[in-house]
Amino acid sequence: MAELTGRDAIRAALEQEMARDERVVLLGEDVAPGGVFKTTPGLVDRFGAERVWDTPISEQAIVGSAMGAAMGGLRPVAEIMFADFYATCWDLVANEIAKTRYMTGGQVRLPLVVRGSNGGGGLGFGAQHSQSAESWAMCVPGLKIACPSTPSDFKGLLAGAIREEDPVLVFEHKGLYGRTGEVPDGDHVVALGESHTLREGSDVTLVGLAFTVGICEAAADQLADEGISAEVIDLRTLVPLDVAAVLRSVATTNRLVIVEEGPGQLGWSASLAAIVSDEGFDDLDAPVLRVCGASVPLPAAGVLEEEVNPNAQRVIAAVRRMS
Amino acid sequence: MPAVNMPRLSDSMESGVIVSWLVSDGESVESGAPLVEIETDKATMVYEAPAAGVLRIEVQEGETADVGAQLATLHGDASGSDAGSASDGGSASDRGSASDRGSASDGGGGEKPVQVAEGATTEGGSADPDPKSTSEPATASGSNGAGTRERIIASPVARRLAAQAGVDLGTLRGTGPRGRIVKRDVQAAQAAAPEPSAAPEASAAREPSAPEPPADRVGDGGEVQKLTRVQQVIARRMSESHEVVPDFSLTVEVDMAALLELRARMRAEADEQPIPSVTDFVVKASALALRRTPRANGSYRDGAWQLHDPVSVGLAVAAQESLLVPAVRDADRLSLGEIARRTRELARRARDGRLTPAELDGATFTVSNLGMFGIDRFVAIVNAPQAAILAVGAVGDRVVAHEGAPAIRPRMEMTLSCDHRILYGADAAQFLAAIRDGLQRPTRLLLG
Repeated sequence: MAELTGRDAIRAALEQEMARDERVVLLGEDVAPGGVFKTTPGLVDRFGAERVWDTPISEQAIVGSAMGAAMGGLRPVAEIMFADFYATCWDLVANEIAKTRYMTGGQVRLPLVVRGSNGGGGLGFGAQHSQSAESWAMCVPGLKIACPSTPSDFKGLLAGAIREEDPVLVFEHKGLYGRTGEVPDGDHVVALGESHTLREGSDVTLVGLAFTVGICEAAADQLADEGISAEVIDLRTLVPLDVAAVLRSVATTNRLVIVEEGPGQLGWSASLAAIVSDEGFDDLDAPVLRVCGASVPLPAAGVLEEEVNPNAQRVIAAVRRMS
Repeated sequence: MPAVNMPRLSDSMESGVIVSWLVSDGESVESGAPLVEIETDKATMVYEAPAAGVLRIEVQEGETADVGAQLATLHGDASGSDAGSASDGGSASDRGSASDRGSASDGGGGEKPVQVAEGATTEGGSADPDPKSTSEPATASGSNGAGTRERIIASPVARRLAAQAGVDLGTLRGTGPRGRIVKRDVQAAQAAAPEPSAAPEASAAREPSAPEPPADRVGDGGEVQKLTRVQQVIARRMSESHEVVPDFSLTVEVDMAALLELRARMRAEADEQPIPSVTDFVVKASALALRRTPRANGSYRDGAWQLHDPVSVGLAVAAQESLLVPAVRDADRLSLGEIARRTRELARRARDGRLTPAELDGATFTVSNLGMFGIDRFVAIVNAPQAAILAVGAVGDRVVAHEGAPAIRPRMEMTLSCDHRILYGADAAQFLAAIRDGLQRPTRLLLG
């Protein structure tokens, strides 16, 4: 075990997988100098410029090259600096990458990863650099989606994504790059599709993803002081979605609050709420509640961003409302 | 700081009495939550909080205030309602909401007897917004029971657990948001009543996490028992009926010799089939008389006589410290044997708390028999909006004049209580005589 930051854990995963499989290559803006979020420093020194490619400022070119590289037999890891920029490359991501395996009858598979920073985190990046884009991607069948919440998962889930035979988008919350945590040394791989129950509880289930997992934990701490026992589940991946674990938990607690950073007018929490309302109906003691970001473009001012995004107090208010 | 003003709960209302504040002074309340019980000239209704906030009461319980007068204020936004709360703000706080909710028919809660929740008390007034309720009278019992079509608000898991444990949701008091019956309420009822047949007392046991209510004691050391919803409904509807319905009663004595003889013959000759009870004969005789007396099978509503087509005779059944009135539908068309089978089934299901809303619905007349307790005669309270209720006493030997000489004959008294707005004295007398004649010539009941 080593105490690493999120960004160091990403670098550790890349180094682990590049050392293990020489077909793994990196491409993106400024990845050779180490990346603007410092997730790739030194990799070009160890693996050479043939495997760590700097690209022009064109997200379309990046994901298009990654697609071609994957078709050609490599296992590319493309960096999209800000997930907001997926907006410029949906044709390739949604229409090509997500559908190639299906439309070729399984003859062509694309073992590629697109990763990059996502979400707000109170850093004041503003409306075009702070969005939670994971729910955009979830609308497109054919893409796997991972959203790690801890340094350990930053390493394990990225390694797991790289070993997938199909395209995976990894959304790295930029508010977690600087957080530290224990990360297993050596080969550390987390398979996609298994949620993690951080703490067990009996009164309510709080489901979070990436940055909102910490919000759920903070809320659970305060609720414990009030005598309310909250179970906290980190979903870890949206596709595959670990519905079974959430249903198991709700069967015990009978109440569910889902915390999503993205705007509540749509989003993965709505999909999960609908599934639980259907398959878990007879276990519910209260309506499934969602605590989401407000449906507005994210403000750049820090205090306003805090106002818009979910926080522990709003989670606690939701729990009180249902008990 | 929103004010809570005395709402106009009926067209004729000019002032109202604060019966009870359902939220204590200084407590926070959510928008749409039951706030205060207000007694009007017509009924007692629950008024919901028009906004969220901390309650400051200005008019105390028992006091009267004019429509529009300020009753309380709601300070600030008390319970941190998050962004999502707007979506459930649909619990309209205007005066229509209580009766709107009251008129909702049972959407699917299906298998349980349906009870009246707070607020379903506008019927009898002129403001009933539900056209259906004018054609389908509610099934509250006259001298006793109650139960109408209002949906029970209970969470899915509470419904499932209650069904598994045989707990009647209608007997529970919900402690969840807006009075929703939640899991802990069912668990408390189970804990309080290990025998499924015993009456659950919702306040008897709670989960440790729930705040323990202060023990209510009477000044003399006795205890104060909170009413279940059904008991609340019975109390309210009976007072309403007693206050509103101009009633009168008629009594006849029935010679039961022929009927008892017929029963004895049935008992001797029937195989496995249940022998119709005296009550079953009364149901059949009443049903045939109702068929011939449309206004006895009707309702006085909104200044009109509603003459119902089906003849459905409700039977008052004591159940779980409560009273239910399951209906024998189309009793005029059923044979005595079929009535006997149905009344046994209905009584059993009533005692088990397993009557369906359909079985509790739609009686057009009620029979209440206390004869099994040795009661000779009693006067029942009309079960509005039904026109009349028949109170049946015990069959007993009496010395009477018979064919010119004293004789000992089995006799039974029946007292009919009537709503004079629809059933007048002479009509009622003929109706009651028709029931008596049917019972005194019971072979007619086999043919009818």
